Amino acid sequence: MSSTPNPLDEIFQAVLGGDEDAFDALFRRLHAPLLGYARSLRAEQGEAADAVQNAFVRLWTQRETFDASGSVRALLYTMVRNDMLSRKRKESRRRELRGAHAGPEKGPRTPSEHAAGRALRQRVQKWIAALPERRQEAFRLSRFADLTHEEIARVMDISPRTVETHIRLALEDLRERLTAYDPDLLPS
Amino acid sequence: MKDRSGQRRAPSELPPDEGAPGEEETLPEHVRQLLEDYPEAERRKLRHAWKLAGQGRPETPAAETTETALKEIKRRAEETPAPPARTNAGERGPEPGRAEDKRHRKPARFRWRLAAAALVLCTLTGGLAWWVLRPAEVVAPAGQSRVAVLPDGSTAELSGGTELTYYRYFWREGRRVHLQGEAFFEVTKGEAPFLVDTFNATVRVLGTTFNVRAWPTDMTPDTRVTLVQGRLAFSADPSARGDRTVVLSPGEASRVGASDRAPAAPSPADTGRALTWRRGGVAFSDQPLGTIADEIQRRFDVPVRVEPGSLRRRRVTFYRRKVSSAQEATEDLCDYLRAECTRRGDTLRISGGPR
Repeated sequence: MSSTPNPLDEIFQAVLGGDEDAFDALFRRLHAPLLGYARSLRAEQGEAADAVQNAFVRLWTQRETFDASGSVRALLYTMVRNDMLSRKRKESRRRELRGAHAGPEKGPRTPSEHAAGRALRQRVQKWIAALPERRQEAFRLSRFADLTHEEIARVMDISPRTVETHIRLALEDLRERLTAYDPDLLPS
Repeated sequence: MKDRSGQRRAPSELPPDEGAPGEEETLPEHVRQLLEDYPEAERRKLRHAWKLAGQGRPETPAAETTETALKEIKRRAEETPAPPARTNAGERGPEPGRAEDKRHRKPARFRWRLAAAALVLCTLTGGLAWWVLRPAEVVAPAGQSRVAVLPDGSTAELSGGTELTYYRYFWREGRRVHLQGEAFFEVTKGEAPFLVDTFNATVRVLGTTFNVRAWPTDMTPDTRVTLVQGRLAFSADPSARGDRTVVLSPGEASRVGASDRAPAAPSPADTGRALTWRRGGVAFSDQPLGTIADEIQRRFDVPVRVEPGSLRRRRVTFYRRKVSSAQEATEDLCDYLRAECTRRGDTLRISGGPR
């Protein structure tokens, strides 16, 4: 599946062998993108961090049970995803019980952007957030988490071809919005 | 001179993506491949859209946060008993009605640890129960077929989009699977009967090879069974016994419609045609076009639309030994129906045609 030998695979194998340094390296490398992904699943900030933590704790404490030949990225993203989805389910049940709607939760946006490029950056973020849920997820996993189509397919439990379609459509959509926003930004 | 990067063209708008330096130069291999399907001009635009999308990267936490999180994880990992230790951690039992320990208030930190240990224990026990009792599910993704090997060595080859479910734990009690879609079974001989449940019927065999097609989503949903070898009992009731049961001999087929109470009398069948899907062919005899379009969609994982509804209901006989793409199949259908075939993005559309 993955064509070139991936250093992540080696790190993963070391982690499964109980190498703590490897675990640290893995964590430093994947923590931020995983957190970004968890947040994009419309989560409260604390929940996202918690889900990511849970995934790493499970990875370490249950390292005997994982298959070393698998993709560690697919594994971690799947764990985070399942965790987030079950939280969301619980949350919506709670909300149903209360009969109240807490309104749409938008991911918190810390205004730490540089002044330059802010307008476009915000726009791009908004465009991505406006994509259909599944398409957006596939695209984020591809663009920001650098997962391969196969890995995304495993995480989202869909076929690699569907992943491709999602990404294609996402790109086409972004291209259209970009053209509408400022055709000069695109190469002709 | 046109500058492709766009960055130099609008410097105030586009600072380099500091989230991941260096990624501006190359596209990931799988994305590059995906873009190859587009004409050059379009490809450049999409490549640019991809690069620009990098601006939408979520904020990355400061390194300090990562280190704090790492420390926290180490702490939690140490607390987590590697083998499920038998802690007396019943403070929060699995049942909500259970009395809480009110004897003395423990320091918050300690209580939290206990709760965490209890949670871990519950998760482990629950996980174990789930693991043992969970249904095994084999799914052939749209566009791909897949062979399921069952605990007794029997196999089922699943057509694209098909789902096969069974319970490992109860397998010894009786060999039983649930099928949604189409599969070719080769059942090994065994003492216990092997049962295939579909949405509306049950097939009962001892050791045979046979094909079952049961798509509840078809326009006229039914379960069709074609027997290749051995003997088989087919019924609309889950025991596949009783007087409404039909027994098939090799080379025979039968079907139960969604509202039928018993299967049709066995009729001689062309087993080669019934199994044509395994070699990548399609065989439909007097079936609604909608059903055929759905099959093509599942087999190739390409959306196929038929408009209007009257065309969807039109009955068609369509047989091809082998089709290599959804486009080829739909074009064949369009030629035959004198309908119009168009393609928009991924979606294939069959429309119009004389009534």
